[in-house]
Amino acid sequence: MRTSWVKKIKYATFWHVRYGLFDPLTFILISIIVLALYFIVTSESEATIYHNVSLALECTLLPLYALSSSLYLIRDQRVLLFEINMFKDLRCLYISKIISFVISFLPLLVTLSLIGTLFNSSWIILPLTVKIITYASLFASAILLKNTRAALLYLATTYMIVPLSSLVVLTTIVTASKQLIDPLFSVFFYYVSPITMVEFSKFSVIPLSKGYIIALLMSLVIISLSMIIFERLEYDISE
Amino acid sequence: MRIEAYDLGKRFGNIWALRNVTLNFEGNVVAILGPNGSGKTTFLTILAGIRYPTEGYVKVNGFEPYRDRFKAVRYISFMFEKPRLPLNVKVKDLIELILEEREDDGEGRELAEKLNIHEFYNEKLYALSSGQAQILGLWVSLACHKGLVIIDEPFAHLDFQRAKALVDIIERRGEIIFSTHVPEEAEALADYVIILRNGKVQWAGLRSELFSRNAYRIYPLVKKHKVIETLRQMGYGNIIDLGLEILVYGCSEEDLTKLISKKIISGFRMGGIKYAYVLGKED
Repeated sequence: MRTSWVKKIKYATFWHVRYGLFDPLTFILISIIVLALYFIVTSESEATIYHNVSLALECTLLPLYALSSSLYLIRDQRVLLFEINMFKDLRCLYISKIISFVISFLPLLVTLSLIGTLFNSSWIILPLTVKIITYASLFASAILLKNTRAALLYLATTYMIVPLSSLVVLTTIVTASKQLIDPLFSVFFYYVSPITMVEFSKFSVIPLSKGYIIALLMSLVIISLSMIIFERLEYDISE
Repeated sequence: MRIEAYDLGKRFGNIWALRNVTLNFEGNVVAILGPNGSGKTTFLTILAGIRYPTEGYVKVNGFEPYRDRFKAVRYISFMFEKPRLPLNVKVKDLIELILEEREDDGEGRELAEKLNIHEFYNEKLYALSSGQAQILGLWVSLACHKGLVIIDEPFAHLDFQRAKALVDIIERRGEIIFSTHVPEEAEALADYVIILRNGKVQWAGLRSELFSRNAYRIYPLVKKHKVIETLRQMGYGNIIDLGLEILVYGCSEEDLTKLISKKIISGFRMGGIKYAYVLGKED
């Protein structure tokens, strides 16, 4: 009767993906994001292309997509308790939520990679992949809030407002002070705005590849820590 | 199952929902009885391992469920009241997924039939009535599960047919802890009863202990005050008017049978649990 953890993760992931993740809104959002990238890579000049990809994808459209996936997976505590009782494994449930979140980005990643490759902008694939992993870590920490409204506030800030502010700060640093971005800030920017950092990496003391590795490691640490906390949370059934 | 609690307490802000709970017993079907706000659900959530106590500890079969979460989640199934879920999933799909994941050998499907789940098989979870959601929650907790099951107010929204099916399941299965505010439910099903009031244990013990007292619930056939007067004339002073019935302590069955033959009362039943529940003390 005891099911292996791989099997449990498979069923829990199926539960999340099959019943809700890919609704019509998701495909409308994918179409809008793909169209936006298409227009940017086909009509912009070389000088502004990075800036506009960052503004349109990292600061506006991708956060909306990430929010729609996240908020389906972060429900109130009654649903979470129901899922815990259903799958009878906290760790498998947590991992399945992270996997489901990443899966929700696959159609978008494939389509954007295709557009990028077709229109000589394949550079987009790597930052986009890093972005999805950093999103997954933010999503992982948002699961701990156990509440859709709190998660909405937290994720809107971290998915959208922080990258937008980072873009403004980075532009100001580079144009006004013309100084190199110091290591601590660089790590922060690589983590919160990996797509934007394609344009600004030359002003950072940490090169792009190293910056991405650090961002990925940070994401893995956050995901692992969140998992440990998730397994120890207290749940409230009165919600 | 064996439950061992020592000085267990849970505080929410300045309010103690549960305090000084010390118990040590073995039971098969355990009822936690108490009025609203007595701490029943808080106690159940600690037993299920989803909440931590503020002080003291509780062990279920030798382990503290909130400390050994992995074991607790696997061994303890739970269903709390109002299990309505805003999910766009058909009952049928949920059931099939669970049966497959738990490798059902026919037991889960049989349980679904017993609980008449097929009546709302094609409904979506968000559209279920309270009773249907409760039945589904019970099924999820009980299906293909061999360990302990914790159920909060299991009969709260059930019609009599489903209540009957659930009684059969509880009696046959055992290893169940349930909460209720209805003494009759505890009386009918539990072999061990814990009565909580204001977060404290008011009484705890075997059901047989409560039945061994000479406490009876009697049902008047004439005006209540006449029945009370007659009982007093017979020498019984420990009488409580409960509205539709009268509770009398220290009485003999022979005397009550006489009252039936005189057509003063329509009947009586043992009322030890009700007595402990109403009085708030053992004697």
